[in-house]
Amino acid sequence: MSAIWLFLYVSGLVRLLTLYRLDLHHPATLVLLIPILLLPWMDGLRRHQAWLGSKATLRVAGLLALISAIVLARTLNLGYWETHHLGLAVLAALLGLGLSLVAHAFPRESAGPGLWIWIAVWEYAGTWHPILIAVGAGLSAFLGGFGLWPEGRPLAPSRRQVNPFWIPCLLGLVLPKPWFDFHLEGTWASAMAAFALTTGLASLPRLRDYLDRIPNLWVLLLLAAAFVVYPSAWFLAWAMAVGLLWGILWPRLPRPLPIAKISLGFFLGALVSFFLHSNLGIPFLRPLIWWGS
Amino acid sequence: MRRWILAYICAALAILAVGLPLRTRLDAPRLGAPAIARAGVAFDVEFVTSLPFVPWRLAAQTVERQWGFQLEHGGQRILSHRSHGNRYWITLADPTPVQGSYRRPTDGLEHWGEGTLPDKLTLVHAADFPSTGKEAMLERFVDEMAVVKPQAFLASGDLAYDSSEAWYTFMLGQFRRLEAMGIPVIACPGNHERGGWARFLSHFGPRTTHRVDLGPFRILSLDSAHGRDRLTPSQFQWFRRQLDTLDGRVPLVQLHHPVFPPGAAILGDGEKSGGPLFGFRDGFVRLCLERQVPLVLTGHWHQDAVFDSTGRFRDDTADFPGTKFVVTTALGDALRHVTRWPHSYHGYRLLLFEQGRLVRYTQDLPGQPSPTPIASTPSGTWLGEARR
Repeated sequence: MSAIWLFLYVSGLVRLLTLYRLDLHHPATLVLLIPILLLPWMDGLRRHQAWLGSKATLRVAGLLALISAIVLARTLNLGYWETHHLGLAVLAALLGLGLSLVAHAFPRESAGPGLWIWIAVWEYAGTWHPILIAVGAGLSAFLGGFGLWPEGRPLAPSRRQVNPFWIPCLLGLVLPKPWFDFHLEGTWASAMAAFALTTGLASLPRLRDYLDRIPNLWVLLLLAAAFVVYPSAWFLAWAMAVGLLWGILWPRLPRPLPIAKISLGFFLGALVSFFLHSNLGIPFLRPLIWWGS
Repeated sequence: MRRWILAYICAALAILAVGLPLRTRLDAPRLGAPAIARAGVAFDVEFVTSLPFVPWRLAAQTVERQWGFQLEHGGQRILSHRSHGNRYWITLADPTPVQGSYRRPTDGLEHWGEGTLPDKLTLVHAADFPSTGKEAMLERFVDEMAVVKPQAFLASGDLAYDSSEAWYTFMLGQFRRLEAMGIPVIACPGNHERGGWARFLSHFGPRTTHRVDLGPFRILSLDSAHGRDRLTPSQFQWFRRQLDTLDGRVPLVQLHHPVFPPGAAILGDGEKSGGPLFGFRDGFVRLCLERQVPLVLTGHWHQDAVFDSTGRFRDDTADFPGTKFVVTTALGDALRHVTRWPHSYHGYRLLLFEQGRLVRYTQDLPGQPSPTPIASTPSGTWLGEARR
């Protein structure tokens, strides 16, 4: 569920932030950010308030997430997000809170590509309209909350370990490049789908055996290189390369997954990425941002 | 994989729950990006549906019903159609001869039939509109256009300092007045449209980078405020593709941000007027030179300026070879003194062409040489002359 939370919800929220320019003085912004702001306290809350992890609570959370996602998507499908609209912000926050509760209850990830294909399908649906990705997040929360989430063999963690904050932070720097490039075009969603699909591919047993042997340093260097080298005309190939690298790193994150650290790292990375891509006037930065395009 | 079947069935149901009843969004042509086509020349209607993979006939009926037009009416016929996911393109053509310069849209579709345009064409360019409280300025500008009678009006961003629905309603009303005078409006967004981005997109559609063919011209509108003062790789590629396929047309370019910084011509701190174009500037300038773009029209500084392709501020002459990178003063927002150019007033720019060749882009000012370099037309000039 952590991958769902990260790639169907958090990444969608960051994209929203960067596309529609949230006004930090407006209450709707605060409401939108509640699920993210609560992250550092979620584990503590769940420990002290055991009912938050109960079956009934998770069912309510899952149902609430699904209903919020569908209402939100019915309102916004084909349209644009009015970021000052408090009602829309409340719906997005309910979706986020519901999914967050379910994701914290099921931090385990299954082995195999099923999860990543599911994410890729919803990302691809984002080419029709970005809000459909939120429906994927809501539906996943619903399936998880009601115990219908297709669980497989648990993912065996890799012998090599990577930092659960800085590595997602690096991914957050890299992954949004197609968002900033393609803006309102659905093309960025195809890039996200290609990314997820290749991450899934990397989890195929034989390939994973081979990929597990690659040292962290090489993978991280290549991922960092993908921040600088971005051939816009070859965005699918670029997204697949990033997906493969993330597919190598994913099993190397500590288990159980520290959702808060991973999410906040990714969130921070994506915001820094937005800042860097939006300030090309800074000397020396310009050639580093869109090299290869 | 069987475990996933239920999940995918639920996914299909959820998408149906979101998309039913079927709705559409018309993406092109829209106000600000009309389709202008001669009799018999094909043009595309582009729209998306709330559900993917809908049969095109059903999608077409829905878009007609929702947006209030008929794809086939009079002599207008569907030539072909294609679709991808929930996106549809329907190619139309109308062979009915057009009397005069244009046949204006008669329904909810921004399709202008192009007739015989005069050899001497006038286009008007403006940016940085007045805002709430200064509505009369925009009304007077539209009144003035009834005197100037340009063949098109190019609006290069910062149309809505106030992103309220009331302002958009008023501004769109003025654009409709222009259209009623037979003046198509071609618009691109500026940085201030980002303040109410959803509203801008709702009214002008999501094609913020677009192409309009008009007479001998191919007018390319870019979105330089995407992020901050920059083009993006995909937008730059689009621009290059358009210049690669001009079909003999003369390219004119509009974007909000000035391409060059004031450089040595800056006055003080330039009133912190911000950006020239940062991303892809060198490539952009090179392309403009290579493809012989006569004019790149911008705003943003609220003061007139003109640069040549080396980035030199040209207050010495109005006539120099190569692309003219033009900054037009504010139509109604606060005036600034960004460069050493001493004049500052509200105005717009008249662009005169003969057989597609630029012959004039500045306005002679009293007491200045003729042709005066840089100067745009002060608001009210032509309205005043008409009254006299």
